[in-house]
Amino acid sequence: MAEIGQYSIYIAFIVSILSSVFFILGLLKKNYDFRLSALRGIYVIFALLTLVIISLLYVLITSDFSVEYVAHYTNRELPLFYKITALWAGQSGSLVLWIWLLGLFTIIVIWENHGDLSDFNSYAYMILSFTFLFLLLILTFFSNPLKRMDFTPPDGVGMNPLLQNIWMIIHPPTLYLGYVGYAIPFSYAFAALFTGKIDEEWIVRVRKWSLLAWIFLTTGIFFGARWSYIELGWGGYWGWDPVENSSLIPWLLGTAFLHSIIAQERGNILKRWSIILIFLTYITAIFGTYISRSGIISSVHAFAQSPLGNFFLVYMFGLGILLIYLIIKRNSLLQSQRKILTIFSREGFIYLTNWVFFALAFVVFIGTSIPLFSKIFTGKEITVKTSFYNQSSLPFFAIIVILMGICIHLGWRRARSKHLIKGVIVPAVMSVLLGILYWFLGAHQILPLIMYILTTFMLISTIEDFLSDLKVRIRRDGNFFKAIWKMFMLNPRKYGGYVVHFGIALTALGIIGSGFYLHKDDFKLTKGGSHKVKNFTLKYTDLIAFNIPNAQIVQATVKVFDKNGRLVDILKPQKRFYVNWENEPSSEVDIYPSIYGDLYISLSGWEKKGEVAYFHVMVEPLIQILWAGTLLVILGGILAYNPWSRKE
Amino acid sequence: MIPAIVIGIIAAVSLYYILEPIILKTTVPLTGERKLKDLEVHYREALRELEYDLQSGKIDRQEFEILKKELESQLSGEDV
Repeated sequence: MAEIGQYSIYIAFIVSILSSVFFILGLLKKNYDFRLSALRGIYVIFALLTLVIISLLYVLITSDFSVEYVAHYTNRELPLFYKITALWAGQSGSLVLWIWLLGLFTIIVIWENHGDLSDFNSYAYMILSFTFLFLLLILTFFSNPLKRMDFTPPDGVGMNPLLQNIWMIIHPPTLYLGYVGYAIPFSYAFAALFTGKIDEEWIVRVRKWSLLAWIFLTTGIFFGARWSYIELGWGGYWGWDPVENSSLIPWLLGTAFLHSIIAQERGNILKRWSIILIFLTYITAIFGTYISRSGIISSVHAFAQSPLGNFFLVYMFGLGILLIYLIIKRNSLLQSQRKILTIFSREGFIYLTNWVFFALAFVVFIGTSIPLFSKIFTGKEITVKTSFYNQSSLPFFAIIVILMGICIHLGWRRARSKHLIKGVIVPAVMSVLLGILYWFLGAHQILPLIMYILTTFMLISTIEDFLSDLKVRIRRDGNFFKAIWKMFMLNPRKYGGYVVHFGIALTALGIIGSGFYLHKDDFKLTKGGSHKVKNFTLKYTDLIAFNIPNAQIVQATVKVFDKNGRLVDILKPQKRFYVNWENEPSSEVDIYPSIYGDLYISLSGWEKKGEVAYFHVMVEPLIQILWAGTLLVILGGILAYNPWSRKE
Repeated sequence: MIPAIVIGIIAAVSLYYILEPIILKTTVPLTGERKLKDLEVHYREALRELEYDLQSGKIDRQEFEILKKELESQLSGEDV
């Protein structure tokens, strides 16, 4: 089976060469036959990649340790569940999944276009074909997951304990769906530049795909944050780690792009911005894959080491050169049809937002790349501290929040000052009043208090404008629920966007609360002993050891009492010693969640056969609001995408 | 032996399927650029948004007419 998969990769690589060449010939000669052959090449590539996936899954499930990838990432004791997820545990497996998803998306696009082979579509497919070619080149010559070894070891090394987690099933594939999804609008951007059709049709085509990719990327980041949160040693839900940053950069740029195309739709402006943003979004998505899968930068989330970095760099550089050439060539078409009349207009604020998102993405990119560049130029890897990101990103986030709060009250072309003042004054006064309330509730640090006030301003501003539109709709429909329904069905993007903004505000409140008011405590307890942490009292009662198929587990039992002495939960933090990884025990934390904050406990160690145990405890305020906010952001994205609304 | 036969068949079928249009020269005329159905939906959505802006006071009637005209021009591919 491994051979079939291995040779399928070789055949797919040859087909990708044929497909790319046929697209070029078909476009140069305006020949339909060549284009059709090239298109069929894409179908074949997808079919072959499906065969590769099946082969890889087969060898993983049957524990065929003669295949290097299987021996490296699994062992006999690994549960079936993780043997399947091992498909994306390593670099070459991830790459196979990446290309397969790209194939899937490409097939969907072709199906959506009813196989239409116009110049515009053919250019887009050609770009996708070259992407297949590049990735299959790597897979064929440098990273074949089905390569056999000269010998068959009796057992495999096994999966890294940190990856043996429920989030392993959904986090990497979802993130990849986001990364890969941007390949579609990216290819259409190139098609628009090649054909000179940088018009409404281009926007309509890319809008849907960029939004879909954004939803997947947001969801992937959310899943990653949840996973990081429960994995001790990963720095909490966000640690500004290079791998985390490399997903944030395309997210920031992709978000700017979504706003930029709205301005382009309405006023035929910011065209150059849109093209550059979608290009950068895709390139940084590739950069994300490169960082997480090449192991080029030290990261707690990088699980593979390889020399593939240079290929990715060449690919990114090549695309950059091509883009610059096309932008210069199409310069006249990329000019705005009209100027932004005043910065105090919707498009004016979108323009500012583009800059802020771009600048923030740039800062994060610089911080993430410093270790890479320092390694290249000095031979030493210089790492950037978390404080760099916290300090440099905070002003940008503050500006974004202010822009979001004001922009919502602005009309296109130019703002009506009366309406703007009326719209801004209520949220401004209310947020200051609530700021005073936050102070009395204990938010005494100045910086988080200012951030609280700004975020509250944005939150109220969003609600106020939504209610204003709702009033208009109720006047027309006469019924509250019908009005809400109609708003989301007839203008899904606008009101889906409002839900996203609302979610962002809640997420920001959660970040401020959990970031500035995090309480940490390390202590030891003897059996039966108690310790007070904030409003909770923790009582250590027991320590037991037991086995599961691929690990030995040591588990403590800790009773949690609230400030009234009422038992609210029994937490069971664990230390796990996985087979072949006994020297790297993993901590399984346990959490008591509440609306005010999470009580987070991990077992650090023990002595005297468990008579004494050591614990690490954190109380994270408002963390549940952060999760709720992020879920709302995803929900808003889905509402904005709303495929059903088209039937209205 | 069996994998080699399977691989051979896969390669042969793939190549035939890809090269068939060029070998047989179907010469189907190239399809023109299809106007997307979504364009109309998009126009209606944008117009509705402008109507909300007008009714909630974000823009006045004059701005509304200009923006509506811009939208129509973009849809028909004209320069404003």
